[in-house]
Amino acid sequence: MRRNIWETATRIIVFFIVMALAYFLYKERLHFPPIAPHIPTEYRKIPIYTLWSLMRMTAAYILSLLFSYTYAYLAATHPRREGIMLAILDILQSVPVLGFFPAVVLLFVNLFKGARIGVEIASIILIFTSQAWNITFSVYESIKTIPEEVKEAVDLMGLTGLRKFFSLIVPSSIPRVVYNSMLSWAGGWYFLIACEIIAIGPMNFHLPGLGSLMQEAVDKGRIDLALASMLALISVIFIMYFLIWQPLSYWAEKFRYEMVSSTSEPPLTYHLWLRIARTKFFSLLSSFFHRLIQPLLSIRIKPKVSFSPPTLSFIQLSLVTILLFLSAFGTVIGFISLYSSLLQIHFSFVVKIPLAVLASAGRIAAAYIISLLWTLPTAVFIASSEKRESFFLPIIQACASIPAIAFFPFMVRYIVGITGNVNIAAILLILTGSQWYLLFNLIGGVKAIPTEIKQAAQVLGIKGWRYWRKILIPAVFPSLITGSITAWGGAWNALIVAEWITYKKKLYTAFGIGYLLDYATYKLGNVAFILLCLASMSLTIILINKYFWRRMYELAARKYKFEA
Amino acid sequence: MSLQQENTNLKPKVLEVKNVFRTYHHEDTNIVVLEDVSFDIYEDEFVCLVGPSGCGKSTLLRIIVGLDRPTRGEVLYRGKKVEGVNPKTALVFQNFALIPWLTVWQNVELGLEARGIDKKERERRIRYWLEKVGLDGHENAYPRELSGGMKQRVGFARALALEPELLCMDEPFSSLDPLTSQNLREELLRLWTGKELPTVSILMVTHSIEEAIFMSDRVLIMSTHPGKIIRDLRVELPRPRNMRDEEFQKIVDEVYTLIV
Amino acid sequence: MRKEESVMDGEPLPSAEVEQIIGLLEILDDLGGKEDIPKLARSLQFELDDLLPVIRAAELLGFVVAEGGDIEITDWGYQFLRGNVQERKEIFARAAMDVPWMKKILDMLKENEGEPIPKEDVLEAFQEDLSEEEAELLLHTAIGWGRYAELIGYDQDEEQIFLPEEEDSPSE
Repeated sequence: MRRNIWETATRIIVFFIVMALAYFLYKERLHFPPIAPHIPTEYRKIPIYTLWSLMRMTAAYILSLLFSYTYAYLAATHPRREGIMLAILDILQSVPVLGFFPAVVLLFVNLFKGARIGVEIASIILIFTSQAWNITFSVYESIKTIPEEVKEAVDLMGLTGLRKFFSLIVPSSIPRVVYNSMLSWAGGWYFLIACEIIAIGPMNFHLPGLGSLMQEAVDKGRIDLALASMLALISVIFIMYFLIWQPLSYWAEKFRYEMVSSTSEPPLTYHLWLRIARTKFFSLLSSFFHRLIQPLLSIRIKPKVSFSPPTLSFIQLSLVTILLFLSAFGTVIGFISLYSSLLQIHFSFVVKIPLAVLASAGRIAAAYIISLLWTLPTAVFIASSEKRESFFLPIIQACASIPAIAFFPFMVRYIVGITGNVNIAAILLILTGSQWYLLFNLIGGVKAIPTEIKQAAQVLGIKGWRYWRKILIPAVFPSLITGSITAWGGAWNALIVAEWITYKKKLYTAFGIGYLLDYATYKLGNVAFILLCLASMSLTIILINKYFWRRMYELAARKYKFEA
Repeated sequence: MSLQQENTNLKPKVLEVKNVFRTYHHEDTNIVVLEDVSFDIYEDEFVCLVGPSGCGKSTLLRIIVGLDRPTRGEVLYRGKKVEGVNPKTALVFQNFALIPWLTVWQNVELGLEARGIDKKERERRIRYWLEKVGLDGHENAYPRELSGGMKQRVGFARALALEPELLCMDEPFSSLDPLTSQNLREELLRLWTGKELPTVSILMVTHSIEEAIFMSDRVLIMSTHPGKIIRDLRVELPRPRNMRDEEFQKIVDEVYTLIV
Repeated sequence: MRKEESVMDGEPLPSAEVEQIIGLLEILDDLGGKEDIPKLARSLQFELDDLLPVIRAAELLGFVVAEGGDIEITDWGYQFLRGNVQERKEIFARAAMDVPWMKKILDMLKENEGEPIPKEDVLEAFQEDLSEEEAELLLHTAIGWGRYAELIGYDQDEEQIFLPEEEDSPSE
């Protein structure tokens, strides 16, 4: 009981510190560089734009990997900082990409004085924020689930530090990371538009890429161009799936600890990569790489497992002290300024926030129920055969990557046009950003039901609704919860594109916290207000996660877990 | 008499466990896993720690190897206090603890590489020990291709290649079927009695009294909740021993009565 | 779908690991060389269903005879048991070479001029008399025996069976 209170208290304190620090960094330092010209919208530019977007996504992905491994490793191996690091990660995951706009603009756009390179870096970092956290969690989970005996064996052999990292930690993480990378890329594509059009208040910068092309096409009402760019996006996704994700997933199976003898055939592209790996060029490349890393690995630390706290040298101690002092200073100033500028904001705005959160939560709940209804039967259908699964997987990924904006014309013309209500459109748009996560997880859950259980049910003649109620749903309950948590997270993020619909220079909005955040960013450019909206959203997400979803998850773990 | 209670060993001591306690804090209670455990291991001894599950024998083994620390008391190896992982020991695990993406050869090599042993010597040792445990021909196999017995052989090869003085084993045969474990036990004993092992002494943890009497020179019997040593017996049956022998069964019965 | 002259002779699959066969022989030796089969299973706390394949395998190799519910070690079996590591491999190899399905694999390798053959080819050959699952199990057993006796090798990545190179051949 005591530990629980400490945990909550830690999270809340960390939360406020992060907010205040953020404000201290943001405030009054925002210069708005000149408006950049809009990009040409023509068919022949599509290949170039595709390459640009691909470049940004790849750079962001590499950054995500570097971050994830470092962060997750540090968190998982130090029980003392583990709690705080996870709390921070939780918060970061709940902040929608717009929340990072001010920070990113301040740092990078200003740094390069409005030059293109600054905006590019800003864009890459923004994409990073929609990819990274997922992967970080999966690296963390994989470190935690390494079998105890294997960890002991490795420790006993004296493998420590970097050597242990490369021989044990990295390979153990591969199955989960590969799977989550697919999801991360889908998430990245989904928010690409928000990351290629960087706009705060009067500042407006369009980077050449598929995302901004789509936006501009829709703005101008050029559906043909929008469709063409969507086609380009989908092609990229399919090509990536067959060339990269599919063979990679097959290869990743060899790193699993559960000795499941897989009878599946390696995909064609896997053989292709095997051939490449056997060429002379590749072996030269890998031996070169090995020679680079070798000196790092030979840093042999005496096989020792120390239990006493590490003693810091004087230099380390003073550095840490300075860092702490600066952060404390920044936090205090941040709190003060936050308070004073909050007083400046019109009170009516502040009052709207709780109502907005409630409205959005209502929409998300509605979308969630709709997703549940169709994803569960679909998951059962897809998971029933491996062939079906490998057929649908790229399709699901493609669907999950389609940015909400692609649906705007449809939404405006048919949904809003007929019903006159933006709410329904908003709910449907929320679906596009959340239901796929639920589906992904449910497929995994259905697959994991032990065959004996399925066979036993068959033999006993348990069918239909009874089968669903007594066997299927309890069996997939853990995956259902994990999927729901991710789906809700995606939904909150999607609010910024679901409650703010632009089409042919007209704006259609639904009142909610997403709407307020967009308003604060695009119309007001008021940092304090942005932060306030972010804070309310994050706080809500964290509270719901903790008091509802975590409880459900514990219930799932207790009651519905299968003994291996 | 084939069972003696006092230890009149004049050989030098390899390991001294002195008044070891191990307690865990869970929520608001203290759980005493090991209580005042003391014993010594001498050179040239095969010692078995026997006890029911949950008596802390695995914990004790980990303290001896250096993976864990006693809450009170100390462990001395050749007279020096054990601080952290002891490179003179090696551990064979109940569930093999092999790395699934490495081949048999690479699994054995891992520990040698980490110790900085040069390539030629590594190759020599790996080849030697894989042959000794009967795995030559399987160098390039992956753990998932191997049966339980073969996986454990890799575990043995991995441990022995490091040439440990004290070989520790945590219920090494309990995940194997009776035929395979019979085979492995005999092979290990053959290597031990034939002095083909680089080790000076062996410490094995098991829950089977028959197995303990079959394999060892000395049996330490542990009780549970909390774990303490209640008997220290010498087994002086001549080797090779036969578990189905009348003489053997008699001794097993004697031990059972001693416990109760 | 069983032919007259099947690979298996209609007996249970001898899907036993080499070490299980050796373990069985050692236990029989301890018991004096002969034992009643159900009694053996009970004393080992081993399921009869799990014990029978091992007995079948030992029989196939000529190490035991099983008659009238009893099992007894043969002279050949004693020779195997008493040998050292190298001698055991040689005796096992000689016995295994005569086992029909092992012979088939060796013949296939010879026909292929000593080049590796894909495991699918062997599976196909086995599947003439066995179901898909049984064929897989038999192949797995054959690979285990073959590797022990150093008769054949198996490459997991390429999924191929090959003839191992002669390293230091024993002076035979």
